[in-house]
Amino acid sequence: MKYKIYLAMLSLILVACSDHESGPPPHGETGAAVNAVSITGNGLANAGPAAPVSGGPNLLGVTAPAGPSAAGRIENGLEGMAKANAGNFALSLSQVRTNLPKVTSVNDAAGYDQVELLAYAACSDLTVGGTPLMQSRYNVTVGGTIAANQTALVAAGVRMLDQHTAGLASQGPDAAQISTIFNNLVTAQAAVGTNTSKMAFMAVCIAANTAGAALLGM
Amino acid sequence: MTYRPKQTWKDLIDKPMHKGVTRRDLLTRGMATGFLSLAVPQYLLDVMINRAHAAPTCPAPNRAKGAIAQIFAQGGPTMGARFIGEDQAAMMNATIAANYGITGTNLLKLGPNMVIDTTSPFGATLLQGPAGFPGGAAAWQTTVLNKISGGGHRGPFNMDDGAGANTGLMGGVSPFKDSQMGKDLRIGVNNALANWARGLPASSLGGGGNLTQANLAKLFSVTPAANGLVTSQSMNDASTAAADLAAAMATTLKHPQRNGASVLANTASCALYGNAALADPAFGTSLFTAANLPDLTAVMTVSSLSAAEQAQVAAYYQSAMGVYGGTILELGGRDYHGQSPQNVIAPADIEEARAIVMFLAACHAAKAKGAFLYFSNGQAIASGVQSVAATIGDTATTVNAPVARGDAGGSYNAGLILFYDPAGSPPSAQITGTITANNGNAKTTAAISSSMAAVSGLYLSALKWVNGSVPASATTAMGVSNPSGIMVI
Repeated sequence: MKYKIYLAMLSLILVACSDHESGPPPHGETGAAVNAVSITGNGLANAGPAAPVSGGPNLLGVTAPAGPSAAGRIENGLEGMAKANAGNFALSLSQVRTNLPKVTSVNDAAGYDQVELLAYAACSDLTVGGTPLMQSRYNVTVGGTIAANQTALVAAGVRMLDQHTAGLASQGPDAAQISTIFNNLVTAQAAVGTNTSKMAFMAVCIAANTAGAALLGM
Repeated sequence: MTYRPKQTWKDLIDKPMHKGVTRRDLLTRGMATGFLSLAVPQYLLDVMINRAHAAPTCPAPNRAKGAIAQIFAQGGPTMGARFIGEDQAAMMNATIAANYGITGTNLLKLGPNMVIDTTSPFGATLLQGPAGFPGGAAAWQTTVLNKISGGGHRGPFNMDDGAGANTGLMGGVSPFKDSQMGKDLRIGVNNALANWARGLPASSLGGGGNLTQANLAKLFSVTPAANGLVTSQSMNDASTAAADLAAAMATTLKHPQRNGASVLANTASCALYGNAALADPAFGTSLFTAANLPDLTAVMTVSSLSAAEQAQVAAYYQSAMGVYGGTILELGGRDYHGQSPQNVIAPADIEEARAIVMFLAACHAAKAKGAFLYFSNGQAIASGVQSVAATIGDTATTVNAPVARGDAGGSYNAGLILFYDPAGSPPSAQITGTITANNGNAKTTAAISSSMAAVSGLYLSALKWVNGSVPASATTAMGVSNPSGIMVI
């Protein structure tokens, strides 16, 4: 019995796979294969793929943030809480604007250091006021010690980097490593007795937004 | 009724005989085993390597002494009225002198391959030196100008004006020369850089009236002031963490498979480390206020300089001290042909020579080696000279200015380099190319295939002189396989 079933299935496959046109296709028929035709002058020397692309198999390369897009990326990283047209962020942008990367090609771009200075200014805007945004949005208590704020500082860094990477910082395969990097950064700040939580927040904020805006190549 | 199929073997203990293994089966299994034994470990190794994508190792900030600077005179000046080689001086005649725009009868050798016309705007300015130099112009000549030599490539800069404007006649030295900031300073740079220089780390300042000490200080500072926000150490920690974060996510973001990722990892991450110095609110001001730099005030009256000259001398000094890499200065309005010798040509030549004076004074003050490159797109051929009144620094004088009559880069042109050694032993550099005896026209040597090659060769020469050797990273970036073929020392 089972042999009959196998035979029937095999027959169906053979019929389906053998549905080819053996002769020239009729005029106007679409989607039908035609026989290959020789092109004059063609030969084996011209066969095969084109010259290999240098730099790797993926043409979709990384890019530098050109001009104001760096400011836009930092705004995004800080969830719009620091605005490129206000505060220190705006002042710094007017100062570094001409030195930001001018082209997206990483081979030609210069001025990445200015992106970090821009991130610095934007982050500083979150530290001003009676209850600054570093406290109200990122739960980093201004008057607390760095050690007491350690968890909140690391969470702030991850949250900012999440903004740049669509959640990959906390949900991706590198989440543990990223958390470790922020932890180490905060620990290093805590080791200096004169450093404050505001300074530790600045370091975390600069690191996350410099990486997100300039170093990830997106 | 129970259906019992016919069973030809006994369960469990009495199974049918194994099917025999054919030679083909044996080969197939052998090949599969061989393939997997190689492929699986390779695959696992690749995964491990990709996961271990490390943060780049950036050069440590290092104040390596030695200044490198460049002028790009955009438009086509009378290049023969700058400095010339000893061979040109030896064959000088009235026709050559007229074509170059010099008298030809007042030549003075300052050093190897470094000959000027003492009455030209360029030569007279060099000889005068900065106001307030101890011992005056005579001492300037015997303690500074006698420590320089000249070199260059004649012939390849033959595209005048617009044709040569954006052909990449400006370069850079960072990161090939170590410095604290790890970047160059570009002043008034609007034209295209050499291909290899486009992505080099640099900060830019507009030309003309923008070249002031205050603007330079602002360029090397942060807004808002760093007090209570960051220290040099915390800024450096943040830069390191940013690079580490990028490296940690590199595999997830497919960087090993994406074009340019390694370039980004190196250039962008390493560009950050100079920012640590900016956490000192006084950093920029302390660097670029010439009057507050004792080494400079000891060799000149800073207050007698123009605002742009004060900014320049402070900048050259900081390059010489290794704070930043090189200075690339573009000067526009150098299309001399048909221009007034009195109002345009003499002042422009004096401005360029004053830049060289500032450079030499800064190197002298810093007791550091220096290399100054001097390019233009094309040149203007002259029909002799015209005596004009001019002011060099604060001194009114009379000079013989070139009378530029037409674009003629194809007749004579040169990319020049000037070397300074505080110890008084500048290198014996060559000026390549040949000169036609009857008219002074230049022919390119075969080793210099283009103006690009000449620019690369002269930058490599500058780096060799200041660094002590040719940086492999520079030849790689320039794509030069035989550097000695295009260098002049």
